[in-house]
Amino acid sequence: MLDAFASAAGYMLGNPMCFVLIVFSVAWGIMFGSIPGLTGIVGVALLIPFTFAFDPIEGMLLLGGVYVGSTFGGSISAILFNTPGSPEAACTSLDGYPMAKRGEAGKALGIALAASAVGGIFGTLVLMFAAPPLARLALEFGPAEYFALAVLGITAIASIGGGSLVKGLIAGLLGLAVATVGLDPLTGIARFNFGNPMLLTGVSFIGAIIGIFALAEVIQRFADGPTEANAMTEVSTKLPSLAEFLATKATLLRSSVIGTIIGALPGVGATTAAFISYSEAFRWSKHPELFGKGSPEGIAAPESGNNSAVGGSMIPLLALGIPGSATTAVMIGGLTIHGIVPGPMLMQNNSDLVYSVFIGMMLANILMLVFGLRAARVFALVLRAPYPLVGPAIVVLCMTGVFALNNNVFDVVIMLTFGAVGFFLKSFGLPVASFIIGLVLGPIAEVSLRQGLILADYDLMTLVSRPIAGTLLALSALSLAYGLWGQFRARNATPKPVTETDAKAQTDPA
Amino acid sequence: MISKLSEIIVFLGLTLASIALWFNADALPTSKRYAQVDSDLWPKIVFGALAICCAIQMIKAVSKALKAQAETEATGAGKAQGYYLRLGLISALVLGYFFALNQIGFLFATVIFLWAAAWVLPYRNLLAKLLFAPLFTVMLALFFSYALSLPLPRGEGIFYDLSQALF
Amino acid sequence: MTIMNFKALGGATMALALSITTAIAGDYPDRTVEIIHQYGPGGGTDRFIRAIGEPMQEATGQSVVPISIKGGGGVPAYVSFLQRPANGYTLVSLSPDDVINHALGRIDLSSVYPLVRIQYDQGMLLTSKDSPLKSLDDILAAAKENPGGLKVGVTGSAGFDDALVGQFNAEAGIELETVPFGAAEMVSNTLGGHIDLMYEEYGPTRGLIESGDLVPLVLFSDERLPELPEVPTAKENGYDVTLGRWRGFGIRPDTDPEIIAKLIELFQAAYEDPGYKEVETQSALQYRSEFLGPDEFKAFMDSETEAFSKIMKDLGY
Repeated sequence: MLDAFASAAGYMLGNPMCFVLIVFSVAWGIMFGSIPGLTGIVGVALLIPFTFAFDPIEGMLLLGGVYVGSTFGGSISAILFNTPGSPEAACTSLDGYPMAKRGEAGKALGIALAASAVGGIFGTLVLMFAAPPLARLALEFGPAEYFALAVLGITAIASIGGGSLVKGLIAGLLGLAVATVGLDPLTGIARFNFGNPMLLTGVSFIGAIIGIFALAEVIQRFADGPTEANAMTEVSTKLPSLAEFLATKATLLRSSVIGTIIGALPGVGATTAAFISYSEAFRWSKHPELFGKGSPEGIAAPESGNNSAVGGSMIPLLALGIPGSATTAVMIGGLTIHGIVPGPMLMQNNSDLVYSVFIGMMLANILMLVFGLRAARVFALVLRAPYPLVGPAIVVLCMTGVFALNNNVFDVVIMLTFGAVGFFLKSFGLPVASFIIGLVLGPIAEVSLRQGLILADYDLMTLVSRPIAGTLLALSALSLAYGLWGQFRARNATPKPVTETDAKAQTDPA
Repeated sequence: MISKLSEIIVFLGLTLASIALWFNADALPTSKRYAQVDSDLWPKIVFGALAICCAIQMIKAVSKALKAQAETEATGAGKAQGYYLRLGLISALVLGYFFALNQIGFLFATVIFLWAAAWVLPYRNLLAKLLFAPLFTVMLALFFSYALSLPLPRGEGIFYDLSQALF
Repeated sequence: MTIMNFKALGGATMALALSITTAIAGDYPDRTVEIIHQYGPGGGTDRFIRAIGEPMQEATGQSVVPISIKGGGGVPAYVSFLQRPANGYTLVSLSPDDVINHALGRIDLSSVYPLVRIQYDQGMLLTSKDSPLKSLDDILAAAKENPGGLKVGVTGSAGFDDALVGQFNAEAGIELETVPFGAAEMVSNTLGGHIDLMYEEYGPTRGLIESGDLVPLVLFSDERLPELPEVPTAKENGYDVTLGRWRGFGIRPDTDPEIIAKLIELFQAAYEDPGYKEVETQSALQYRSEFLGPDEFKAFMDSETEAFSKIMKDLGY
């Protein structure tokens, strides 16, 4: 193994172009990630033709760097403008934006960046040293286990908004309901598309989150008027201190482990990892009441989760030749065009390639941290720009980004609709976090439940009595009970606060 | 924030919609092969639970409204002056922008939208207001069509040809 | 822009567009040609478009790019294609899934002009190396013993894979139950032993077959594959199931005939290009693939429509 590392490092040192490509690709990835609508997948796909000009190793370094950069990049716009640049950053908006709005944009960006780097490096280390065993572990996950995992995340919807239990459930169920729109993946029957062929694919997730977060926020701030919109002159670009960052270490470790495992599962990726990390961080936090109001843990969890999922999703790709995510599926396409057969033999037959990717991804994460910390302070300054100009510009970026993603006007219609949905949710105190969790995990839960039932010959007991699935389901039940008990206790301890107005008072600056 | 009445109406509406969609799911075509895990299994669970939760919330809102009748809270007091006016204005502008994008193409629609929207909120720097719109539009157009070679809406008719000539 | 606006756009600029296109047909293509397909980026069709586009790009200087509009059983991809102007710069990928959609009444293939068919693949039933199933006879015996007990992973719902397994069931008088998965999950579920078998082509599974993790048990083709000489065909065992996944392109019927002629010429040249041939060989696609022009492709599509209509009807759709 050391030989392989040495040989790969030797190759890279002999081809300085490699390093140029890593720097370029990380920057390109961050840019793609941060533009709303344009995801890492688009960033990777656009670069595939360029990889023809290089050797496979350089090509893979390029794609790997974009993947690493874009996963972090989404959080920049998520924190500064409540505009998740990519789906996996949606969760980061939940706490990053309130923190930035409070005037601590530098701190929010710093935590996001450092957490991304920690998660990314963790995922890459696991990829380097434990890819084959972890790939085997991932194979143990059948539909029953996917279902249990989704349930684990979904059980958070009741409590995560911090408001009333029933409203949390309603928001989550609305998310699950929206997720059922489209062609049923099992029977091929059209559901709830009301005759619109473009809805057969289901509601575009990217359009939906950009509408709910970004568009609803711009409209809200414009409606709130001059007092609020001009209140952001005090923007601190101060980065978080090491102590502040280390306070989230338990969250970082937990989220990185969750992210790596979820990343390694085919078909689910960084977005799911971010949400499950977030709901687990909430569940285990000493200060769950701060979530949604700018909690440092609420930023660290999704960012370390989604970045460790990058390394995680490379595990089945390199160990078995199966893509662990949509972006790695595009990378497989890139590999085969170079005449490389992805599969279990890849590590032996193309060890230089595999180990160069390891080194490249490690470098990419370190680069991201070093440059990012400097850039974060500059980015935070954007908030000082006058909102009457910035707000409309965000709308323009969202519309063009969502349109350009698939060259499809219907995605923009979805975005506009969900702008109204986001506004509606906020107005009635329905937690956005619960809604989005339902939207992300609903399809996984539904399909895997039904696949699992078919495989278990329609016996629910067979399904839940499988060891991993059973454990995860038991954990969900326990934490649900624990959460309910906590809520019950809190209600009895203090006179019940009017939660929405309280939350508002806390997030409002000044 | 929102008057109790609107909360009752909204959750009543959601309850009724969930029930309607439950029956909509019930009416989906059935598949012989997956009869036990058919297309309606999951939607029925979701819409059933949703209907129950919304009904509970509605009842809660009704009982709260009855209790609170004596001590009526000052609704709408939290809203700044002109809230609904600005809400209407910016929503109309965003929708107008969306339709304009398809009719007259990215360049014109964006410049007009940015100019118009800058006046919804008070902001003194007139020069910045005037210059920002065209600068941002041109930069974005250059970036999307040349750096990324991604498509931008081109509009229709003569605007399509004009846009095509420009980017 | 709504669908209506697209139509209005088409109507209003049709005359203008036609007069321009005839004038510039000689320069075609002078910008990127886009091919809409219904599969994921990085999947077989996506890769195929890139591979065939490479030599075309060398010849014309303009790139040919795949546009993936995934999901919805392929209907959204087809609808998007119909919304684009008929100027020769938007093509649609055609496959048995489209024919099945047509047979099921989800889309109408009469609004597409079949341009060329390029690939013709062959699929297999594969299992994990740890599976107790070691041969076709094992499958048949297990399926007879416990009808519906064997689960076969397929991709897509009510699509080509489903139709093929259904046809095999009918021919062999057995009942293999299909479970739709995403392509990657199907492989991991097979390797993990959660499903008994999976249906896939040679190209995407080659790495796992070579490493011995996946074992092909039966091939659906006319003859055995030289790459897998031990794997029997269903046909030689008396089950006449030889359908394969094919890939071709279609274009709007009202496209300028000069552009159509030029495209056929370009595709023919690309098909014969050594670089493309190499890609073809990599996935063992060279045995059944045969370049078909519009007329032959049309006739082929008609026969496929007939075959799939019957299969889907027998399956109860």
